[in-house]
Amino acid sequence: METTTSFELNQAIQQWRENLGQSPAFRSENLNELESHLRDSIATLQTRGLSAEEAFVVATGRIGQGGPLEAEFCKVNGRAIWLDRMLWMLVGIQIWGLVASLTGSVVRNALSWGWGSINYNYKENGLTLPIALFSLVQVLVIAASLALCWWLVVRKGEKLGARLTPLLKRRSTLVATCAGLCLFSLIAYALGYVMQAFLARSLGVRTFGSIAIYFSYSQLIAWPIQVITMVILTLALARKRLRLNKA
Amino acid sequence: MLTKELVAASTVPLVLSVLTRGESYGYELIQRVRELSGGRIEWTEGMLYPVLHWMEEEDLIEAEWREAETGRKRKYYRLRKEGRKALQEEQQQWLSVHETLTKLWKPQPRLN
Repeated sequence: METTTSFELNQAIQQWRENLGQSPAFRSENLNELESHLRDSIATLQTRGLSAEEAFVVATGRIGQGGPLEAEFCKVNGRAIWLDRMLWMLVGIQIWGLVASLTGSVVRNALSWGWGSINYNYKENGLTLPIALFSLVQVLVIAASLALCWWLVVRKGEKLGARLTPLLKRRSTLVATCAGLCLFSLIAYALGYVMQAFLARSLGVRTFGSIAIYFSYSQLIAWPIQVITMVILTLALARKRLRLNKA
Repeated sequence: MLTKELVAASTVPLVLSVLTRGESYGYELIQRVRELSGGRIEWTEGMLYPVLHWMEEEDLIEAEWREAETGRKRKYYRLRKEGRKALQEEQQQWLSVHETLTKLWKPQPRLN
C-alpha cells in the first residue's frame, strides 16, 4: 500500500503559504490562521480515506483562490497594505537615487579625466562638440541607470525582496542594514568628490573650469530629458497597472 | 445553495449565533454551519477569516491564540457583550423578514 510518491505534505503546505504570502494583503497572523485551517481540513479529509495529496488539493480548493481571497483580506488589512506600498516606494526612490548619482559621479569623473588629457581649446574650436558629447554621455547614463534599476526591480526584485524582508524584521539587522547603506553611500560620494578635487589639481584650473562649463550646458539638455523620461515612465506604469486591475 | 449576496449578509449573524454556544475557531465554525444547514450553506472557507477579523475590530468578538489538543496553535474566537447586542438586533431584523415572507407565501384567498 505504501508507495513512494514525491508528494511531501509539509513542503506543499509551506509552498502554498509562501505563494499567498507574496501578496501584502495577508499579514503573517492571517497566514498562520489559514495554515491552521488548512491542516485541520487536511486531517479531516485524511480520516475519510483520502491520500495526503488528494486531501491537500481538496482542502486548498475549499479555502479558495488566491485572487478573491486577497481582495477580501485587502479590505480588512488596508492600513498595513498602504504601509507596505509606501515602504517599497521609498526603497525604489532610494535605489534610483543611489544608482543614478553613483553612475553619474563615476562617469563624470571618467569623462573629465578623458577630456582633460586631450588638449581641446573651445575658444578656437567652439563649444558644440564638447557639449554634444557631454549631453550624449549624460543621457546614456540616465538610460543605463534606468535599465539597471529596471533589471534590479523586475528581474531581481523577488530575490531582493526575499533578502530584504528578513533584514527588516529584526531591529538589530534593520539598524545594521541602514548603517551599512549609509556608510557605503558616504564613502562612494566622498570618493567622487575627492576624485573631483584630484582632477582639478592635476588637470589645472583652466581645463577643469572649461570642462565644468561643458557639464553645465550639457545638463541643460540632459536634465529635461531625464524629467520627461521619468514622467513618461510613470504614466506608462500607471496605465499598465490600471489595465492589470481591470483584468 | 445561497446566493453570494445572502451569504455575505448572513455570515455575521451566523457566526455570532454559533459563538453563543461557546468559543470556537474558524474551521469548526464552518463545520458547524455546514452541519446545521444540512450542507445548504457552503462558504468559500478562506472568506470567513476577513469577516472574523472585521468582527474582531468592531469588538463584536475577541480572539486568542492557544495550543489545541493537536499540539498546533489555533485562534479561538469568543463572543463579547457588543456581539450579543448586535446579535439581538440581527435576530429582530431576520425574524421580521422571515415573518413577512411567510405571511406573504401562506396560501390565502384572493381579495379581488
